[in-house]
Parts: sequence; C-alpha cells; structure tokens
Amino acid sequence: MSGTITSNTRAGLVSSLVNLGAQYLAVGVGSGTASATDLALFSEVQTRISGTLTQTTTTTSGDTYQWVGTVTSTANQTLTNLGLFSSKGSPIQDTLSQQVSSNTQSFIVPVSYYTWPSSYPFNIQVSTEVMTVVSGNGSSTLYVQRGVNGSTALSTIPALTTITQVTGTLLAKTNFTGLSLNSGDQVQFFINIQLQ
Amino acid sequence: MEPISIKLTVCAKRVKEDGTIEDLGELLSSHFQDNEEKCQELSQVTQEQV
Repeated sequence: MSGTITSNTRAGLVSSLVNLGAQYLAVGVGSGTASATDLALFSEVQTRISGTLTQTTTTTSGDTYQWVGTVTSTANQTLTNLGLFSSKGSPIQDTLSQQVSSNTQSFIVPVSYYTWPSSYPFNIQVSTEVMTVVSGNGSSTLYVQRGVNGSTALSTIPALTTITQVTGTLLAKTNFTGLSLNSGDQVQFFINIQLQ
Repeated sequence: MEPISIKLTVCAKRVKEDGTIEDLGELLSSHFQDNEEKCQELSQVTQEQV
C-alpha cells in the first residue's frame, strides 16, 4: 500500500505559507539549540529586516517557500541564530539579575524591571524555555508561568541569561555555530522551506 | 505510506564592497549538513516529518 500528499497539495500548502504575508528576518548572538517550542531568538540583535517572498520549485512545482533578504551587520559580532517573524518590531530584552534555581520557581528577577510592560500577561523566552509573565511586584520581580508553549521548565537558568519578549509570530528558526561579521558587512540570506 | 517532510534550508552569501558575492559555505558547512538542492553552498538545518 502507498499513500502520498500530492504535488498540487504541497504547492497549495506552500502558497498558504506565502499568503501569511510579509516576514521579517531577525538575527541573534546567543547560544542554544532551536526548538519547535521556541517563540523568540537567543539574544536578538539589531533591527529585523524585510525580504522578498516567493514560491519556487525545488523538486516538484511550487514546493518551496523562499525568503531572500540582506542583513547589514551593525557591529562586530558572531551570529548564531536567526528566525522569520510576522512582526518587524524589535523585542524588549533584558537579563536575569539572579539565577532561576528550580523548575517550579514562579518568579524571575530581571536587571531592568521597569523595561518590562506593566500590563499582563505577555510571553517571554529565557534560554530554551518560554514563560508567561502574569504579574509584577511593582519594583523588581516578575511572576511567571513556567514551561509555556510545550517548552521544558529548566531546573536552573544562570544569572545574566537573556530574557526576550515574544514579539510577533515565529515562522521558522535555526541556530548555527557562528557567522563572524564585522560592522558594515552585508550578508544575503536565502531561507527555503520545502515540502518534499 | 510515503511520508511528507519539511526541509528548512538557510543559505548565506557575503556581499562585498565592490558588489561581488562571496560564498559563505565554508563558514557554515561544518555546522550544517549539505543540501544537494538549491543551496549547495550551504546547509540543511532541520528536517521534520509531518
């Protein structure tokens, strides 16, 4: 017996992806392995950029979603991860002022409390874990729901780990060991999603 | 049942000041699996069965 998703259906699914509309490339410099539960990058840097979206052919007609755009590095830095987001806005980012010491700890202490919104809830990602911030104490501490979006609540998260607000919908994300760039370097990225 | 999979591929090229393009495959190839299709110079990142 054999079954398959037809080429026309694959092309239709790709078309649906394209019809999601503009996607913006974000790049990051933090460490970590991309996971399907991620909603943010690892230490996002610089502004997100627009690109060109097309439906292309790799194996069967229209089986590939392609995003092409060029990043101009604004600093000497090593890119380690990137993602396509539905929103151009840069996320609020901060760091932990003290470590998270258990997977049930229901609060975090950011370095810059007043950087964060005072209306709740909103989602953040810290390392590989997604959390929902449900309230704050008004001066230093954010209260969180742990292990959101299917992510694993981490038993320890070191101080100074980046906290990134979830901004926009993350279509795809990848990490890599490092792409070293000097300030002013231009890099053209081709991101293909093929249904095969 | 023949599976359908999603292949995410990221390719990158450095645009030099004179407008020529430098393939960055060597920078990233050790960190990715090669993709034999459109982005031979770079890398397959993930492949998920759906």
